Amino acid sequence: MKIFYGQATNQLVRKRIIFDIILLGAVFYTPWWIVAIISFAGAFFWRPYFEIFIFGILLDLLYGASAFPLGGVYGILGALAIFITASYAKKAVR
Amino acid sequence: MTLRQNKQFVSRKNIALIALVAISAFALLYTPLRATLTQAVYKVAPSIFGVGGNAESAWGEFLTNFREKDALVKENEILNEAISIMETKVLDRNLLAEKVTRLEEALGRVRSDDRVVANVLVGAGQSPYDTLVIDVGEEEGVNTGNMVVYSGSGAIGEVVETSSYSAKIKLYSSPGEEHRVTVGSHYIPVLAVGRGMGNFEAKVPQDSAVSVGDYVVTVKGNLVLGTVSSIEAKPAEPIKRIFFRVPFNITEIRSVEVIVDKQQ
Repeated sequence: MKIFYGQATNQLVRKRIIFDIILLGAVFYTPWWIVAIISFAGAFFWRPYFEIFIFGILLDLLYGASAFPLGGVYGILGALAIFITASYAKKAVR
Repeated sequence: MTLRQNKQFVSRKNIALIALVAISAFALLYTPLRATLTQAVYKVAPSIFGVGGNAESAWGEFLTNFREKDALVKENEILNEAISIMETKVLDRNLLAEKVTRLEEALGRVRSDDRVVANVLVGAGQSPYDTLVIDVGEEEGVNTGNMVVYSGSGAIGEVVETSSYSAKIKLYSSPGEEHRVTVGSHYIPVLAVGRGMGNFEAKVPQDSAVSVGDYVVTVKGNLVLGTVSSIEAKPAEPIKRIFFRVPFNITEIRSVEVIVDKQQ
């Protein structure tokens, strides 16, 4: 079965990919709180923004270690918190 | 989208969310898998960090072109003066170090250690973990547990994870980290607790002779951990809280030394 997407959908996908690249750059080059703000924006504008968990894992692998409290999973926990908060925030402003 | 379709979408979304979180948590909490993933990420990460560093220095050079000549001349004068003051201080320090070495030789306690100089790829403040990432790893003999110092004698942290060409350093000032140290000229032993970004806190008895500016030295290795910046004492309490911080700006560290094989 072939699925044809409209031009608007293609544009949305393109924007989302560009946003993901920006967030990837932020994980490498900016402080964690800027990454958190950009992630929140992503989770707010795109639903569901599951990529946030990939970036959470990346943050933990790049900067964390098992020796840290909670096994060094701040990235994943942060991603989950942002995902849930953004979902509620979106519902609240509708 | 009908109400039924919407409910199906929400339930699918929740299932996907739970699955994603479970897989992510497993990948990070199962140590062998985490180690493999970290090694894979660190195959490319140092070069990506390097690109950022190069871009930053290129941008700095570009901006320098636009700065006024007079301002640069003035800055040069100030920096030259600072260098001459520091050279004098270092001379004094070298004499003291020589004296200490001679005394240690006389006591039969000669200390020597192998140090590896490393560039900082990721500085403090960038990660939520209060960590540094450096550009030396197992290939240079760096191992987990190695102490990391800055500017020769300032203890800043220890290696917690290594890959072939990079290593992660957990700062001693990471929140909740505890270390045995001595404070001041009377070498009062205290337990220092990290407060993040180069800050520490410790408790000493009320009548302890501690004052602002006193050095805080690690018990292991006799390295400077910080200087006392403030003291909080309440007459009704038997203890006073001392706050100290590393004697340099921890966010501006560009290179460190890893003590790879310390023989005492």
